[in-house]
Amino acid sequence: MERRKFFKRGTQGAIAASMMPIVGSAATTADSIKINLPENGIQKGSGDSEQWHQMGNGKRPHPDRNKTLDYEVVVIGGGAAGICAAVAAARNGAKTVLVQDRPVLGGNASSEIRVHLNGVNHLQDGLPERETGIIEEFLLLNRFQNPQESFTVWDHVLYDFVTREPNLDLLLNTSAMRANTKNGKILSAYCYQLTTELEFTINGKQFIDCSGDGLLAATAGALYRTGREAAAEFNERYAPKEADGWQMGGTVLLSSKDMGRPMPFEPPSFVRKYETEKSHKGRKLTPFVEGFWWVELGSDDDIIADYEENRHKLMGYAYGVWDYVKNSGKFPESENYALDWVCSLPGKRESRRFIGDFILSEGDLLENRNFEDAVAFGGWSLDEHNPGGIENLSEPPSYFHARFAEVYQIPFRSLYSKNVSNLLFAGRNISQTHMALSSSRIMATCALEGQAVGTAAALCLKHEVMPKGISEKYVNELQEQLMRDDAFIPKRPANDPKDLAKKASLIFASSTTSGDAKLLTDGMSRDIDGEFHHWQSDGLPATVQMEWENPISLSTIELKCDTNVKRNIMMRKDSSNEGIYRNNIPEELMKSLVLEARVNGEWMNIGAVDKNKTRLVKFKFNEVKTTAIRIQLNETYGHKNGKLFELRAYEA
Amino acid sequence: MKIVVLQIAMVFLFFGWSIPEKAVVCETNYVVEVLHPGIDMVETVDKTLVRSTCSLIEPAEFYMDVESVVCGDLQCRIDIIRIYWDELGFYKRIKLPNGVELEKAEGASFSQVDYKKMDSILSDRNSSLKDVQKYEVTGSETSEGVDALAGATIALDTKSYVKGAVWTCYTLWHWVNGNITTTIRDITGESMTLNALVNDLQENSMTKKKFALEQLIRLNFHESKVTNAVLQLKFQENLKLQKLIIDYIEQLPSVDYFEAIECLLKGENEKISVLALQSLLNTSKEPSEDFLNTLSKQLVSSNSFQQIDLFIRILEIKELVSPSINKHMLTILMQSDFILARRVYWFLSKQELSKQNKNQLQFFYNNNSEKL
Repeated sequence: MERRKFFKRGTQGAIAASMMPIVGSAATTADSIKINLPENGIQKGSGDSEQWHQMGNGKRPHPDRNKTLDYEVVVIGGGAAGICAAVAAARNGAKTVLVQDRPVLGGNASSEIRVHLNGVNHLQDGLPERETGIIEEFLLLNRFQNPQESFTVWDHVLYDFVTREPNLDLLLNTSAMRANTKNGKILSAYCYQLTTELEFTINGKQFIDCSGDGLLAATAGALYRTGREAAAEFNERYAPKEADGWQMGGTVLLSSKDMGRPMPFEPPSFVRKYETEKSHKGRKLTPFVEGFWWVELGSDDDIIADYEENRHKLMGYAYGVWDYVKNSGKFPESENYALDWVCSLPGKRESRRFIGDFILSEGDLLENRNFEDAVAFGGWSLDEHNPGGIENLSEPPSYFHARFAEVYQIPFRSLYSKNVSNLLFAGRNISQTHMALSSSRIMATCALEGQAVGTAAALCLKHEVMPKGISEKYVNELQEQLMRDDAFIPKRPANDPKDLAKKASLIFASSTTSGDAKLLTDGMSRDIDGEFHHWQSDGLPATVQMEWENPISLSTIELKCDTNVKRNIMMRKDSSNEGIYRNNIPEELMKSLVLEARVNGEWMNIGAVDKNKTRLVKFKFNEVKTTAIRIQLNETYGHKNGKLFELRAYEA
Repeated sequence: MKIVVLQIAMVFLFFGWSIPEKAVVCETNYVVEVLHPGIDMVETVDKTLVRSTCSLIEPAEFYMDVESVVCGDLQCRIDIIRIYWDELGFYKRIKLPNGVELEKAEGASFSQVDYKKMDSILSDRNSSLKDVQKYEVTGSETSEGVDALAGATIALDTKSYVKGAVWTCYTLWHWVNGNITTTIRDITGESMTLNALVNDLQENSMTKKKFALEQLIRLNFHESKVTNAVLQLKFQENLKLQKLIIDYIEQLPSVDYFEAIECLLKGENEKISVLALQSLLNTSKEPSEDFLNTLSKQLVSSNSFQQIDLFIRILEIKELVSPSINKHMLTILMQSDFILARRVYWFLSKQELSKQNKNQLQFFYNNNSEKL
């Protein structure tokens, strides 16, 4: 509908249809939209040619831009954690909205900031234990849709990933300003959309704050901490003796490119001199092409209030470092390089940390504590950036206190508020100490938390409980659902009672080079702790067959194939395709598969995938009564063998 | 691969090595083409590989002198070192010229711990160095625990290199485990008699069994004593060896091939039986009716779903069904393994059967109609 026509019609329906700047399937009904009529009874936008002039001189009121929306789950923050939370909630049946205050999705990994979407990139043995589930799904999608590795296209890969999801709406350029609460429960989020002047009141049943800073949660009165805990409080080896207010800083990144000819560099007026001679050797200046993560400034007070001042300084420091590279004469190899991109929105590491029923601390990570309610994992080193950042040059830019030999668990009790009953969180704002944050703040780890809370929020609706109720009664169901959706929980094998594959009488494969077809139902979806949990064929095509003694009714087959979790697949500015990094589609990923069921002694084709793009492959089909299924693996994206980790079967 | 053989005396001056007092003809030189991905991905370089039988108590060994490092950052010191392999192409040791130590970053020498780790790296044929390209090595260990906000790369697992010497590890690993290992095995194979190779098949060592079988295949030895010795291996559980056995029998003339298949299926080794049946499914050789009859009788007693399933597929795809085969298959209907019986039921229900056999089939149906 054209904008002009909206003013002419001036009806509720027209407002719902034309003014709704929501991407995706609109969830609001006309009844929920509040229209404020002017006192004289004349509707806004009555359509005469003078309307804008009259609005401008105050003779006619401005269009009412207040909207009330109703959702079941409201997710604030469109970074990796928020995307995963929103998609998980929507896929598990909740009518969901994702509210993002920037024009693009991706948070620190977006084209605005360009931090690598790291996760468990490397444990002590140098190898990753990469995350699966929703985070992997969109990282893989990026490999298909963005082989050129453009950051702005990556933004739109994420946009595609979110907007194509049924049951999920997206509000961009929209800030959640405050929570409306009653009796320790959030009723709605008051939001403002910068591009449209719209003020939203978003009603919801469950709220998930993945915004990092957590303004919504804070205004809801959720308890939180900032700064560093004293070592004694949680018995943390690497924490300071006395508690203080220090919070790790934000960073301004940059990129340069080889122009093929000498490129002079003139710094801008706001440049800040970088004093290399005073700097700790940990601030490496090479490679210089993709910028310097240690151009960082934090705060020992109110890091949120300090943000704009820090941004100005950081931009000055970033240009200062580049000035040194270009003009000190010590880097002649930089002669042909020129700045191609400089960040204007420092990527944040730390601010509020909300308090849940459990506060994750350093010892939980280092001792690999086993949690009954584990729902996510991490494994980035305890990587605590120095107090002072680039204004404290004598110290190393970061203290890598410890690296992990194996991944650690993150419990569900750290992912919801202790005192606001319908508030969950995922990302750097979860319930943890500063030291735990120094590891868990990494985006892919945050994404796993996001999938966990999104799934939990949907379960809250299903069982009509609050997150604490999930913790008390439904953690097993939450874990099973997460694992079915391809999340991995360390040391927690899946055991879904509805999975008929576990009841098969026989499972065998046409050929085997490693593992065993029987391992496909052992509940572990990756090789870990020195144990195989896979079956790998000897060449392709190959088949896996499952037989049941009694006929069963099936409508879903799910399998998990190989994407090689021992290599990282996130996009990097340097486009690394080295040992543990890759910049392409995993060659191990199954490309083409066919599913057959045996009915009355005849094999019939009930599903096929020709250009698979995901690790979790779902075949959904009309209910079939059968005694056997056969999966034919035809082709990978390059690997000569097919490899599977899990096979599940479900009734209608 | 082009191999030029030069037989020479062991008067071989090499840097700091001493010259033996007497010249003994116990070394043979081979000029071989070696592919090293650190030098070039396609073009080979000529190297001299030496086979030495000088030791009176040790088996023959091979050695080759190579550059210690294909330098990626122009800051390396290149030494010439000697790599030793056993006669089957497995890494034994390296030897440095007198007074030379391998060098790490910033000029530091290898410690004893480093040498030990290097030995372990070079002995690991599945090291992650295997799949790393030269350009990927750069920067491999410049930063640990890099922050999320960019930074350098750790490209390899830490088991794959000595810290500060990733280029040396990369270079030596590819010298040690490249195509030279096949060359060594082939030279050794050609130096052995047929009897010696057959004897190796009977050795306890799996490595020797595989080597001997690989060479017998390569050299096309199909004598009956060889075939018999190969078929004696049917009880072995090693998949690679089992596949070599199948490769071997697939080279045999038709009659011998089918006899070999029958023999393998008698071994009661499920894995090799499945491989044998898959070979039968894919072969262009045409089995006789007698062979299939015998096989069907044999398989009925195996009670293996996968074997019988494969056999049925062979019959269906190659259209080789006969009344006597059907008769054998009917006996499975009476067995206690219902899943297997069901598989056979569906096969037989499509066959032309005698009245009596049809009754048997109907009887099975009547008793199990709910489970079919």
